[in-house]
Amino acid sequence: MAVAVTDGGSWWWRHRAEWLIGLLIAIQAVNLWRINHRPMALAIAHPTWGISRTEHLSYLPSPLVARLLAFGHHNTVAKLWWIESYKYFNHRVEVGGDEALGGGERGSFERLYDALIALDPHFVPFYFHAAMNTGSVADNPHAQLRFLAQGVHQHPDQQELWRYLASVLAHDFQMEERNPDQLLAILIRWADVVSEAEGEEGARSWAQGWMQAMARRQERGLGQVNYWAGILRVTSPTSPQGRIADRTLREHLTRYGASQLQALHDAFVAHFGHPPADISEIVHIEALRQVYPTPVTDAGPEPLMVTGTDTVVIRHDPYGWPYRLEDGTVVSHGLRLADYQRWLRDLNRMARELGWPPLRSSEDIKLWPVDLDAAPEGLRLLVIDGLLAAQVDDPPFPPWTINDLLGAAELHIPGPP
Amino acid sequence: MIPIVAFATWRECLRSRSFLGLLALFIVFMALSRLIGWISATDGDIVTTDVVFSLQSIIGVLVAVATGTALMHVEIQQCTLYTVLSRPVARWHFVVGKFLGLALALLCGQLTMLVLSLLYLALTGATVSWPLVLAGLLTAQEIIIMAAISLTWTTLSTPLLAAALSLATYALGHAVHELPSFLTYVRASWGQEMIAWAASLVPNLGRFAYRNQAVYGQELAIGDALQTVIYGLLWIALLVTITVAVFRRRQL
Repeated sequence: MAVAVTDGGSWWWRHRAEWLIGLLIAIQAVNLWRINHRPMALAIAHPTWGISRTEHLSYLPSPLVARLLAFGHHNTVAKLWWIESYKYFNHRVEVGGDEALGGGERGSFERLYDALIALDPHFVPFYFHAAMNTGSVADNPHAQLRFLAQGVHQHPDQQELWRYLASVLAHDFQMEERNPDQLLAILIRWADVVSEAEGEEGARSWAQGWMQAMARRQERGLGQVNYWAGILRVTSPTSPQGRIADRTLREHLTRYGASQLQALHDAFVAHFGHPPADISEIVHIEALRQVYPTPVTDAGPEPLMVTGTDTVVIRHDPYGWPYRLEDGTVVSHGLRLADYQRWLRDLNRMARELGWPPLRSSEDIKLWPVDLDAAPEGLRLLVIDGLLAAQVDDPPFPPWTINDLLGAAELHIPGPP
Repeated sequence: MIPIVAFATWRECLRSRSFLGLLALFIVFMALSRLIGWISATDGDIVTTDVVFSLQSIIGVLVAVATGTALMHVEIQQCTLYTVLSRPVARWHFVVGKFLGLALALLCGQLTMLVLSLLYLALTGATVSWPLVLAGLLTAQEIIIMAAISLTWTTLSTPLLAAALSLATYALGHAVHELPSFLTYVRASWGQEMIAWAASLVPNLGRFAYRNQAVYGQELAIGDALQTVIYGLLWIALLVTITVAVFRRRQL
């Protein structure tokens, strides 16, 4: 069969292609008119609003239709549409509200950003603007929360989105008072994803700071142990987040232990009128009765334990180092080492962020604009990958097992041996 | 004879006013794209990159359609086709040569646009990465498919109608990529199968729109990239075969 192309036929038939294209253009023109006609209907209903199309975002297709109409140029269409919506934003900031034709009860911002995010889900500013416009401008905190949740789900590495989400949950939804466990779970998730992306140092960031602040608001002193124990229970002990919880718990327990021993020391001095010759002397029955008026078990957070001969002795600190008495003050050498290592981590982070020159040996520390404190006993400074690192001697005793400790109730102090 | 026809077509395309004009238009729009980046409430790099890569595709499609639809028509109108076919040149040699020449010219144009885009982005401080290069190359393949589509429609209809149908196929080709989202609205399973079957008659051009992910530095797996390239080559082969089949039976 041959396909015959001839120039015969009527004038109409010969120009059928032009007619077809003309018809298509006419259909498009009608569609454009309909799009521009919608603000007019809005303007008739609300004469004070004006008739600008961009001020009313009158054309808001569903996310699916928006993707269909983008013809493979989703990102560009989304960005151009977004820029076009600035006028609507300015208008709404001035007059308030978020009305538009169609879309039921959902406001324009919600529909606009649903479509923009469907077109370009990788563009982080969409989530911020969606949250800001639906929350602050359109006063719709539920839509704001939805966009932020969508944002952290799509971009878990974006700390700013997490912080915004946590702020909205704490401030607008009072989650810290109404459902602290839920807020804590979100903060842990935040810290975990940041840890996965940036390593352990990254985890000591906003999420950590938020959790610490929340712990301080809820509990004082050793009461925070319960809070951190809760975190340890819901994270893996070997994960960065678990290690941070473990480290924080150890720090709290050490400070508590040192304060209890200091109280024993002060009670000893008050009773005998002279300082003890050795730290072991502070475990005296008179001092114990003052500091521990009620019996406690010997397997809790207390810095004391009972030996097989019913003798009360001082435990080593949670890091595995013995407590020391220096000029009338009880100190933990393990905590001192831990504090120094943390200071080194902060220093390295600062060096990276501020672009300080990489070190070749520990002597090069002079190149950094800081005064390096003398390393405590049992810690040697090294240089690894141009940054400072610490090599720490093993403690003389095994460090406390925090998970075992959390199961203990209270320390029992028996009668005098 | 195929290389001779291809070379002549390639030279003809590169000299054509529409080809050079649209390339010049690309350069002007590309230079202006930074303005859009500036007026966006961001640093503008991503927005500029998006616009530049969309321009490469849009102008490439316009070049492919404008050149592809005019190619055969001009040969018939100016009667040069008869001079060629009076020699011992098979019709399929002529069609394949024409297509290869057009594809080569479009490839040259696309590579020029890609290099200019990357240079422009680098000069304006935007991030230039390997995914962007791959995205540009996949866009080039999309344009060559569009050339094959234009050539097929030209052999079936008039140039103007072929241009309109080619652009409609471009729209349809991208719409097909979004089809899975729409199928959920079709309740009957036979309806879904029918739509999916009908969609397979159109090349899924959305597969070549990797530019939307490449802008964010997302890498494409080698397997996926190869699959897309093979998919494109198969469509090109099919379209050229259809064009040859129609052209062989056509009364000239």
